[in-house]
Amino acid sequence: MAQTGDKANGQGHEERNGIIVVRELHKWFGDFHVLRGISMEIYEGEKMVIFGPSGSGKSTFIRTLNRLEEHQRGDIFVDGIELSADIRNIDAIRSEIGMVFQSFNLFPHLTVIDNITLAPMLVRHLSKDDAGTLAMQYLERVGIPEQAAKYPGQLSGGQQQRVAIARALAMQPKIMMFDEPTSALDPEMIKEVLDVMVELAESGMTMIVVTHEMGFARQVADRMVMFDEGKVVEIGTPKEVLEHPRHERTKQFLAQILT
Amino acid sequence: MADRASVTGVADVADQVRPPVASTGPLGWVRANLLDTWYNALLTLGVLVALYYLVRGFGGWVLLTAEWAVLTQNLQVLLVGQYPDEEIWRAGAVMLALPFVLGLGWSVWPGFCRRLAISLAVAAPLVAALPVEFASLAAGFRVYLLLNTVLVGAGWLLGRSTVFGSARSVLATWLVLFLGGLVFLRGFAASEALPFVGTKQWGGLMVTLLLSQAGIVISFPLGILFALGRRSSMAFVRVACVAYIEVLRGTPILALLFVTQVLLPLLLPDWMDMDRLTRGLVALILNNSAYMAENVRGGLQSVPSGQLEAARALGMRVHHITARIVLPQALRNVLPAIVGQFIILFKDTAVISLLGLLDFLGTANAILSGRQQWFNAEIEMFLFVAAVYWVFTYAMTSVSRAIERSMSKGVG
Ligand SMILES: Nc1ncnc2c1ncn2[C@@H]1O[C@H](COP(=O)(O)OP(=O)(O)OP(=O)(O)O)[C@@H](O)[C@H]1O
Ligand SMILES: [Mg+2]
Repeated sequence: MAQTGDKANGQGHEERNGIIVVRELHKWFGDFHVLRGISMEIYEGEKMVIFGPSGSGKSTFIRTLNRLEEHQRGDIFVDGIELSADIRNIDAIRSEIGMVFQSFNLFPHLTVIDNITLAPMLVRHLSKDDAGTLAMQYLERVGIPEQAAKYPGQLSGGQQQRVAIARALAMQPKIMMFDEPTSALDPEMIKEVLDVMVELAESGMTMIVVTHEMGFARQVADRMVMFDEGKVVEIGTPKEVLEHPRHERTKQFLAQILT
Repeated sequence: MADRASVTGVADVADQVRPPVASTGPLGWVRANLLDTWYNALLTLGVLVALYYLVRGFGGWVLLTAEWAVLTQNLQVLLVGQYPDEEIWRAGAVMLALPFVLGLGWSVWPGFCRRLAISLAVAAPLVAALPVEFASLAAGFRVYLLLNTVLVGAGWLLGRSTVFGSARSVLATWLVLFLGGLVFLRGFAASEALPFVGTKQWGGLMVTLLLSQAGIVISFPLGILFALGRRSSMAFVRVACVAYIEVLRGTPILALLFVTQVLLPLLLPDWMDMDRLTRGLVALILNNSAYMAENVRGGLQSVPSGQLEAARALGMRVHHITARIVLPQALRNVLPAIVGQFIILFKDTAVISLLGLLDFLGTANAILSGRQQWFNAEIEMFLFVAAVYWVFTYAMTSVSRAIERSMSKGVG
């Protein structure tokens, strides 16, 4: 971490604390030590791409950030709020972090528009009309306002993932997390989802993205993190990590996925 | 696609190519399905001959031999039991809630409710036009049947207005009419206008329908609660729910019936004194809610964990996630089993005749053994009873199928 601190500083974050601060994070599944002491700071407006081999704990890591998984040791702060067992803190943090899943996880029994308006109405107590207006704004932003009345099952994978992005955005989070958002998609649909994410990145959103789309990483990431066996093995700008990886493990892994 | 189009000579309108027509008319269908091999042809022939004799024999019996007087003479008892003659208008009025609610639901559920409403509105005048005499019910019964059609229409008109035209208001209307109906049927000890009529005098189809409706509205939510409780993180709740479900599923309904008759009066305080019918209802509910809980549990297990995670990540609270995300999907996934349980409950109501109460089937039995005149009319009576049971169970199944169809567009 120490060697990357000055890089982050070089990008003008020197005075600020991160919007997400993680210190010495450990997690076990039973006896299995999944996360082995992860420390990381993510700054407001930053785009962080996380990659690494399967089973290295990438999903588990970002899922601890909004308490979909509980951690056993270490501290997590999101926008100054400490993530503890306190249900109010959990709710507060969840309403600041939007999440997009690999398998979309849209609610199949609700129409597209109802998928998007449900949480703003129940959690943010918006009226049906206000939530509807908001939902339509985000549907336009992801480019599919005409699908509002359909059910998720009637949409293509790419369209479903864009609805999932709109659904998360409608809660107006400060941070968006993506867990391999394109790996369940057919090749021709990957671009339409990445385009939406690029546009979102340009709007200044803080983003944590688990992905192996290196083109996307090169284009939008401020920093990239390589995970292996529950640890951060390498962190730095895309140029550093992709072109001059310091660690043998990173080189091997990049060689595998870039061929 | 382009290849196909050019072969058929419409290359310029390639996207108008239709799938080949599957059938070649009724004759083609018969040839393809009934006469395609010699043994199939033989089978078809055999079935046709059997059908012919069956229809001829049965049809002849229905029209010429059968003594339908057992039904027409006893219609009032079959419908409402020993409910007193001078108060019978109350029973009639309460049973009119059904056509009214069906009419009200017409525009809300244009699939199944509309079909049921229309069936009832058409069937009632047809029955009224039957060339038979309705004995004690006399001509008033024909008017009553026509009233069914009128009420379907009235419900339909009301349901089209925005105030009543929502699923919630239809269900609420039905619940109010149902509960109000019970009070109305029972009356008040001191009342001139609505003198008390104890449940001992209730009977016939009315009791079967009231018991099933009450059983369904109570045991369905109870079953949901027990199924949810079985997954609770609180150990006490979980153990209590498992115990309830397993004990009651392991107890035959007949045993439950006698247990509630004996135990409830001992357990409950005096002011909660229940009549026999209510105690019978409690037994039905205990039994059915346990089975219902298991059906719902199956549904809960079928909802993928990703659904909960997505809802949690959106910041939704547990009770909202359960009510808006998990239960709707869970219930949809096991709808046929749930409706199947409703049907079982409907048919199980007949067990209350063991307590000396007369449900529809019990009333039929009592009529047959009551007077020498009807000793030989068993076939006619039971055919009628079976047909009535079938109409109601068929209606329930078709509602279930229609809901499944209307929901299938949500599943990809
Ligand atoms: N609920 C769980 N219980 C037990 N073990 C788990 C659980 N979830 C994940 N694991 C294990 O933890 C390890 C890390 O899983 P995780 O999903 O975080 O990996 P990942 O880096 O996201 O991998 P992938 O690229 O395949 O998504 C894996 O070995 C996985 O089998
Ligand atoms: Mg993963």
